[in-house]
Amino acid sequence: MTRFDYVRPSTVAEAVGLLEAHGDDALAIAGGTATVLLLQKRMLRPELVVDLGGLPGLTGVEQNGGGLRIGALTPIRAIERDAIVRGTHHLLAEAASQVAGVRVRNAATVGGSVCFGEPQTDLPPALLAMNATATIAGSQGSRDVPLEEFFLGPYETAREQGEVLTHLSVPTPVPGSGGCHVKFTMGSPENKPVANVSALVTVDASTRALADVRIVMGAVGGVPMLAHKANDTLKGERPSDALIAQAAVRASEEADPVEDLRGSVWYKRRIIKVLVERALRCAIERAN
Amino acid sequence: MQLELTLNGKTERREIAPHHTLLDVLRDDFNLKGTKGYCHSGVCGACTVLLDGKPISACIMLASQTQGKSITTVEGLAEGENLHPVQRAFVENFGLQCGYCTPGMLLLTVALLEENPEPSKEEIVDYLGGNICRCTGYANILKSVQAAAALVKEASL
Repeated sequence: MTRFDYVRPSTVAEAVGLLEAHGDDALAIAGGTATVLLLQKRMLRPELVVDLGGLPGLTGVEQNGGGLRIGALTPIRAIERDAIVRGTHHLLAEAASQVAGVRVRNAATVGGSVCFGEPQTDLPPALLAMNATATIAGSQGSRDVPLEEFFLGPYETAREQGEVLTHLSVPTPVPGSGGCHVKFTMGSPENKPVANVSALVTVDASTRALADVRIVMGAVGGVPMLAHKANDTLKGERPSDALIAQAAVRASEEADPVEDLRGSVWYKRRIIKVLVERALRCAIERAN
Repeated sequence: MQLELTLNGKTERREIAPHHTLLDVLRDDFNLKGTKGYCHSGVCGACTVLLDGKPISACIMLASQTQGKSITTVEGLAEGENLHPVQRAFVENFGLQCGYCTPGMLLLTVALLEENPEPSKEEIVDYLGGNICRCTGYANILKSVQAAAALVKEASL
């Protein structure tokens, strides 16, 4: 690691001020599981590390109007185990339980996972499928950014250098909804995904048609992607094996994977097709 | 910078370099060599310690991040000559060969049994699965964890 100064601000305003004043020379860290690794490998060489871990009031999950308010510093492991999340936002708990191993999940935070902007991880697709909104504090006050507009590219998000993500708001799915997160890895389940899929569907109680479908594909593009064509294929229709297969093919065409150590483009398209089918079947079953 | 933390139950203060990891500081500043470094990427689990009772990888956390917190290393498990029940279970069930992964396995087991005193085989595998034993002694590690669950339960009765 290269040398750096370290500061642990005790208010969001102080953190914002430090990040703004030091610009690109500063690195904000939360749990540090991703960032300290990059510091160790000297891929990041900041002059100042701003540890957000001591900011008060940003840890925990509370019910808020029509959904959950999740503090950015809530450990991923806490999301996985939280009774409220497991009850109303099961998809999120399921995705959280699939992030790396238990040691990483205890230290890594929800906000850190979102702000790191890594394409190969599990929480962002689930949060996007659930239509979450990020609240970001800056020197001019707070702004809300829907996750659909938050992820800009690999390791690139709408959070500016002088800003701090404070919490995520995640609406409660309407009755008749079911969600499912599936992940495929090379080797052990702790590995980063070759691809993953979060699906949230709503089944109309009287017609049995799919009133809403949000399939999100992860690790097969620079950002987690809504499978728009697949979603449109399914919306308003009663699900059948043929329709699910057709949607999965559309999703694999929409996917934009790159070749890396986890597989070729050809391979990842085939994996994503199978994952979309699995996630859909599982989500529809849970909705019924 | 001045680091103050509770280390194996005792309050400790030490002047540390802000860019050193918790693993570096435990081994080099506190001379606690039980915590091992191997992959230095948070993958293998050799450096597992407990932060406020929960297992984390000491190689991907800055020591500075533990300011005011409580850390338990393998040195904090035994009381003098009396081994912790989890340590006893590993000894009695040959749950170690070369021993390099053992501190991490022990601490992970302590945390698992704290969360879930009667884990199923699948729950044990899921919880410990991220920690790698390069001797591949997994069968006896699993046996040791099952025996540890029984010993811990007995000790708490």
